[in-house]
Amino acid sequence: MTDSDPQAGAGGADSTTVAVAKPAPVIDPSTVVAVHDVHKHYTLPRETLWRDPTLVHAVNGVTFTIEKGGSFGVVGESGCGKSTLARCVMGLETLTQGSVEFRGQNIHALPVEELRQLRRHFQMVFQDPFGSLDPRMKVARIVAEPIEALEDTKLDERRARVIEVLRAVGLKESDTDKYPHEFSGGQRQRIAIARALITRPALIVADEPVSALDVSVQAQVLNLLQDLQDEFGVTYLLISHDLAVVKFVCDEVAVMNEGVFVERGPTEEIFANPQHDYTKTLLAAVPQIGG
Amino acid sequence: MEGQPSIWRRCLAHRSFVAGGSLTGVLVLTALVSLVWTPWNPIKQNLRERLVAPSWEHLLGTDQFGRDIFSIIMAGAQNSITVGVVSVSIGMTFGVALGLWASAKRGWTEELIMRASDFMYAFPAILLAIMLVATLGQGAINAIVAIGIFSIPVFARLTRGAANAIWAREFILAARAAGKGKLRITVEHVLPNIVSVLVVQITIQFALAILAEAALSFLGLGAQPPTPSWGRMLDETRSMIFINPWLAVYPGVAIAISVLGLNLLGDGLRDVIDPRLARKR
Ligand SMILES: Nc1ncnc2c1ncn2[C@@H]1O[C@H](COP(=O)(O)OP(=O)(O)O)[C@@H](O)[C@H]1O
Ligand SMILES: [Mg+2]
Repeated sequence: MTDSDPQAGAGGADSTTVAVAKPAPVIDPSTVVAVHDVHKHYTLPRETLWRDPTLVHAVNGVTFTIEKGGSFGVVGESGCGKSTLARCVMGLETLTQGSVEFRGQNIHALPVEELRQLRRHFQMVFQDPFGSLDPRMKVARIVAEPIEALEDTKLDERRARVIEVLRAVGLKESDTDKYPHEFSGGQRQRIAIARALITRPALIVADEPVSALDVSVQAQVLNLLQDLQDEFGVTYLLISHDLAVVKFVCDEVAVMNEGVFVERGPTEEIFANPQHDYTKTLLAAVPQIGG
Repeated sequence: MEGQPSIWRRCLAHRSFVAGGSLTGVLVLTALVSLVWTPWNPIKQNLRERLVAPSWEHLLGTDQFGRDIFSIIMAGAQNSITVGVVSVSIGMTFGVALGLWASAKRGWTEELIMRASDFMYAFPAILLAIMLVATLGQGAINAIVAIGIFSIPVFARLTRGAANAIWAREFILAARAAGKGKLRITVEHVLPNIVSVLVVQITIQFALAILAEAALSFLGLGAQPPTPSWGRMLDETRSMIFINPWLAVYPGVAIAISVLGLNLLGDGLRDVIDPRLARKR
């Protein structure tokens, strides 16, 4: 069921043709995540028996690396494949092609159990703060999910860590006994961030972490993300359809369109001097609030 | 208990819930009381007091063997409840497990389980129960098991459908990202989120089980004499139907009230439990 050869899927491990083998991505020790030529195609259920099923090329060859402590932003319109890319990086989807190396380990080639264990080092925050928390669990349980699944922590220590991390995201100890529906959207996203933070991961993938929130709350949550980076040295992969969000948080940006990166570079450069037509239209389409 | 005290108030404000709950309560209470007390011994025949008309002594009169009908009806509730509890437990345990398994595994495992369920579901259950009992031999236990087996596909299909909807939710993806395996997700996230759907189905299946048991007993395949059973009462009074039609009416009404009560309770529960999540979103 699981792949016994950890090199499989890394591409070109054929020993007889070493000379012409495709060069494996060079991993710098300070590189947290290296995404190499990732493709993800979905087969839609066929509409009629006679026609071939439709293929959706959600992600169509994406390559990038994020250095330790960096924050890499991906912007693009809705439906361009951002969330799919996030799930691929998180190892929540099988890849059609390519590799995702987390600290030099190809996560898609790892046996299920090893990948599961590795998950404590990379966590995710989802777009919908109403959908990503189980409505039947109390906050204490939700926030403790990763340590409950991945560590043998004693109950009292677990509780202490939950409270510690809740405080770090600006929530109170008394919030542990509440259900998600008792919170506002912004607070719920804080809960989700606390859950992602509790194992002290090296990487947090945030898929539109503020898109579902009111504009006034967005700034608070983004500030929180930045403060946490200063405090814990987390690396971010931040995904958004909102250029302002990415500009606010990220030091490097990639512009995504139809499953590929059309442009990539330091944030200021991209915003000051967009090279690609798609980036220009994207920039032009956004009213510059508080530029 | 769930941080929402108003759920009780909403229950009490719901008319079918109150009506169904009361009727079901009467059924359960009757069964409990009959364990320790009935006006007359429901089994003891008294050939000198056959077919006595209702009076203060015999509230519903006596049957052709001189037994007090009110007492038999009371004791018959025990039988109905036992059948309901045991057969629904069988159906629910296996059905829910199969449904959750299908939903967690997907692929051909799901396909196989669901096609097998459809296959069983497509047969008229009562006919198959009769067949099964005829093969296994008649008797209360076989009848209960047969009824239980035929509620397995109902629970399996329901569970699988509801579970698939839960698996598609984002908090499941979040749980996977948090490092939880399929078993853990099933137990910690999927099952708690489909309990409300299951509770409603349990009341409905309970009612169906009471009906099915009555049918089997009426055919002589269920509870054996002298165990008091509403279905068998109907059977025993068949020959008397033109002499004293009331004899058949009493157990019939008892069955009808129980089934009605459970169905109303199920309706009420569905309304009271389900919108809670919908409204809070
Ligand atoms: N599980 C899936 N099955 C089929 N198609 C999918 C699936 N997930 C995403 N897609 C398709 O892939 C494309 C990219 O989707 P997504 O990654 O959600 O985009 P974004 O997050 O940028 O809005 C869309 O066309 C979407 O319909
Ligand atoms: Mg998306």
